[in-house]
Amino acid sequence: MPGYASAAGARWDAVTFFTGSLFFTAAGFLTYREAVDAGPRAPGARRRRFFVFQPHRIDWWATAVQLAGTVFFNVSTGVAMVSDLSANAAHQHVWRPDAFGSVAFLVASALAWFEACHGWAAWRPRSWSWWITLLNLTGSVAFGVSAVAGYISPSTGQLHNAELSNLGTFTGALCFLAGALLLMPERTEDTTPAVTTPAPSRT
Amino acid sequence: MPVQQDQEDQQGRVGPFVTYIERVRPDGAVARWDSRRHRKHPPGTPATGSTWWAPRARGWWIAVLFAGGRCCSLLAPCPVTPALPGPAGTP
Repeated sequence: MPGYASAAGARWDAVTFFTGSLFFTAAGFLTYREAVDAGPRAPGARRRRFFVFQPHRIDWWATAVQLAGTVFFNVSTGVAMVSDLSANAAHQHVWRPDAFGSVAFLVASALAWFEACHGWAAWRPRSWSWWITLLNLTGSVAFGVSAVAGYISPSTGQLHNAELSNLGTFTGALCFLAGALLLMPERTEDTTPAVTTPAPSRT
Repeated sequence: MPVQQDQEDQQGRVGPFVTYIERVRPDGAVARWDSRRHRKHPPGTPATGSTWWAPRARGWWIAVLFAGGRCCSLLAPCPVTPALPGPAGTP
């Protein structure tokens, strides 16, 4: 938001960003648990384990990679709260985890798109899941652009393109916000029966 | 035309992952399992609460937490900019 950093101060600006990353991690963990709970339960197990390894499931990969990405953003935004960072420290502990997190979000969003659309391309504007995964994928691309543009030189500490980096983050956040809000109607949508009867055949 | 009872499952695949399975039952009905739908709408657990207010539902919290985090990102697009030395950090 233009003017927020100058109004709140650089430190509170960074604290706001870090707080947002904690929200992501909480949401990412719940999403991961949602996928774990949807999976098969181990034979004889009374309760599901906290963390499981189910590499044959696309939703497990999507949610696990997303959760890892949120942790990278925790590190990036947490270190960014330190006011007297050296250029090299900013490169190592702010930009690098931010870039890793962006890559993780891109991979997770692509997997979620494949899961919902069953392929590279789909046109289903009447489907909440189509819109959600499309918005998240677009947001991840914007975050990726932001990470590339926000490259911090380890020698000078300067950002490659601060304006483009901010624009990418802002655009990505807008897409992600819309995608997050659409999760609500998707949750309560009238799910068509899992069993459908084919149309009567003409003989 | 009668539906063949021994018809094989039709699967949607992306790489090594199965994203949906359709199976024709002996009565001709098609049963479909869809990965995302199964995850978001687990069988036997109907959605509770309303669309915009359902604090007892995990899916609602996921949406609220993601939305809250994104609002913070919208407020503070780039926290490192003011903290860095040099021209890039100049307010």
